[in-house]
Amino acid sequence: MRGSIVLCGVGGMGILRASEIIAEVLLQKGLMVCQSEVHGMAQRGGSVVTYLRFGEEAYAPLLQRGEADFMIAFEQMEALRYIAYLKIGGTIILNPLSLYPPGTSAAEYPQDIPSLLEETGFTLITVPATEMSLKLGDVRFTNTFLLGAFSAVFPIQEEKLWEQAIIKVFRGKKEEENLKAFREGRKTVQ
Amino acid sequence: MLGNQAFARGAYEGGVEVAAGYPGTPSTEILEFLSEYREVHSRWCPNEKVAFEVAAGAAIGGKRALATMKHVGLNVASDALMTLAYTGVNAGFVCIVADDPGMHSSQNEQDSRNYAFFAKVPCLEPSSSAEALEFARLAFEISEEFDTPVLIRSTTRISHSRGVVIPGERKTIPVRPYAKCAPKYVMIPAYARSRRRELERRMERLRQWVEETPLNRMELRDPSIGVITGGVLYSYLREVAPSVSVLKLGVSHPLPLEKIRKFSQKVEKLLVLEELDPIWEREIKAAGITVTGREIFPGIGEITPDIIVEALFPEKKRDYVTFDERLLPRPPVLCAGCPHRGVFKVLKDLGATVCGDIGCYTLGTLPPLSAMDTCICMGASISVAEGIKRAHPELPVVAVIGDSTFVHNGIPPLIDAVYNKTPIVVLILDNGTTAMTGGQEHPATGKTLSGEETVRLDFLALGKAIGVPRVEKINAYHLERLKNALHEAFEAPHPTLLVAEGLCQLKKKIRNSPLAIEDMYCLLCGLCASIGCPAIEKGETIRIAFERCAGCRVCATLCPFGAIEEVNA
Repeated sequence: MRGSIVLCGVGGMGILRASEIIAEVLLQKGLMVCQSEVHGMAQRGGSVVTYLRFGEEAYAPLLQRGEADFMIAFEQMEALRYIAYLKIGGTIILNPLSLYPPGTSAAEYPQDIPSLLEETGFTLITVPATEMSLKLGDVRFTNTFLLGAFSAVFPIQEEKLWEQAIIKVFRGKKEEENLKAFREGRKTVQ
Repeated sequence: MLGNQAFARGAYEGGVEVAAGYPGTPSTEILEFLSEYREVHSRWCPNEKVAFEVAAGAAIGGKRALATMKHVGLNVASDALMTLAYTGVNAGFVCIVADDPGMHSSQNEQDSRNYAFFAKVPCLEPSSSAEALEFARLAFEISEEFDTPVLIRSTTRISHSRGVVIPGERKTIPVRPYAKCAPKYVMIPAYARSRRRELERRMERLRQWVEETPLNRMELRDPSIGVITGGVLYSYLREVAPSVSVLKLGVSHPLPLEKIRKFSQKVEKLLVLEELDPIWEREIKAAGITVTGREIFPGIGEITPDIIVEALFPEKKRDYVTFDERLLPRPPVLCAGCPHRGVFKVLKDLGATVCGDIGCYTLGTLPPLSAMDTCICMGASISVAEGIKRAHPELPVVAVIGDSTFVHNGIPPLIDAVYNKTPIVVLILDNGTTAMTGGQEHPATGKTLSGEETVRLDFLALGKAIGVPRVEKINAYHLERLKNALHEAFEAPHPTLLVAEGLCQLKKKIRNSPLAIEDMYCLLCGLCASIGCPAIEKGETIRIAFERCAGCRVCATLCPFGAIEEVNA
């Protein structure tokens, strides 16, 4: 098995954490993984992207444009920003959330992103993760919720493996709540 | 493991005993991970020069030592590096420096390999997390074998990438004896002259070693193209062009010119692939070997797999789509509730000339705050402000500087302002941490890297001690008080030190009740949105995103109609 994933969104949404969990799952399957992330601006509402490559061999932590098999987009416009990395026809897990950059208005924000992506030929799975995790009590479960949905379409689907990875990465912080968000997210796709 | 975690692990396994640094993206996590090993004395220092010298002292004293910093930090420590190269080190001394090609989080991009050439010290360049571990471990041995400081050059994509790593055991290294030896360690001109010759002899030995070390290895495959490369670019090349022949340089200084010559004879076309400066290319060309580099690979910014493919195999380019024309930029912003957002609003309203510094608050430059006029390097806010004030005495000039940055390099320029009687305002934006790099301790937080309580540097007492005629502490959220204090300071014939205090929102655990806008009273004037708070959303109406609001009330104090109130009020 060989492939690559791009995760994107806005700083502070738990993107680095989510990619760490995916990397942990891949490692448990005995695969080589490399992953690239950018720190510093990560928590300050800037645009954030991480790339993950896995396989029997994996050297480069950066991807080529048109290479990724999957995209997990935590915010809609950020999906558009990094779509070049997704291969034509690739799968997007999209959190249909619009965060307007400070100082901009709804009118300037790109319209109808889901249909735009679908019309271009990508496979779109819309998961209202932020909305649902607010119902679960905390917006910070957005990342585990999205991972739940992703785990149901990714080639490695074993629930146990994912849950172990979540427990390991969160190190006891809101473990039960995160597992619940993960399971709820998984249900939205299954 | 994250590359930085692997560096820490490698240093630990290599028997490091003392490690010192100053936080700076992308190097910060090395020391943070290292501090988890209780056998190692790890510490944050006020700045990189101090860190470098503490580590150098430990090595001279006989314990293996590590210094960590980012590329611009090595500028600060370079004074010590240049002369430590003369004295040598006794026990192993390694400095890991992390470059930031593409400037993901830096004010410039510079190639630290230049320092290795400049100081005449060996430089290692790992290509992956696994090599980060291996090279960090080996570097101590190289340092001891050649009695030299060793640089390890990392880049953002090595430091902040995760890869598979197999950890090993820690080597326990007995402390080396320390004997007084002034001719070796006291660089007065008479002694330095003899060490200068020793430096060249050492370089000669290193030149022989690099020809043999397995850290530089030839991988012969398709002979039509041969690429000399190293660092993360080696990994990219393996991925996008697995069939090309490669001479992988694990040691980037000095160059194994004989090995390069042999490699050039085995391939038809010789290329050199290096990030930032054409350092190898120049040396290889100077040795009379024909090589292509900068003509096809750019020297500005980060080199990506796409750039390599386009230069070498344009036919292998993949198809992709973009919607770039529809995008809005999303630059990072000061956090919701950041105590210093309001400070910038006040500075802008007062029409102050604002000299900024390095840290989150540099974001005060961007619209809508647009409240910063200069930003050069750590500490320069104060000294540049002095210069501007000398050029234009009529301007109200304010230097804004974070607490950690002030400790780093802000104290000497403040002394200078007092000594030379320059009537500027120095405004310390004290958020109780080193926020930009993720919240590290520093001498004014009262805690060490290992979390131990320590003496806390008091800015007001310091200001008084160095003779600042007026020092004052202000709650950063009290904008009126701040405004008055600034007005008063602008009129003063002497420098003023103001400390605006407000904890970093990323560290603060307690949040106030979020605010909301009462539509009935809101006249859509947009004043609240003029501070660029990420919790304030401007659509057809203006609303405050409940889940992001920290309840700092800065927007409420700005609203002329009293339309902003606590949600549960």
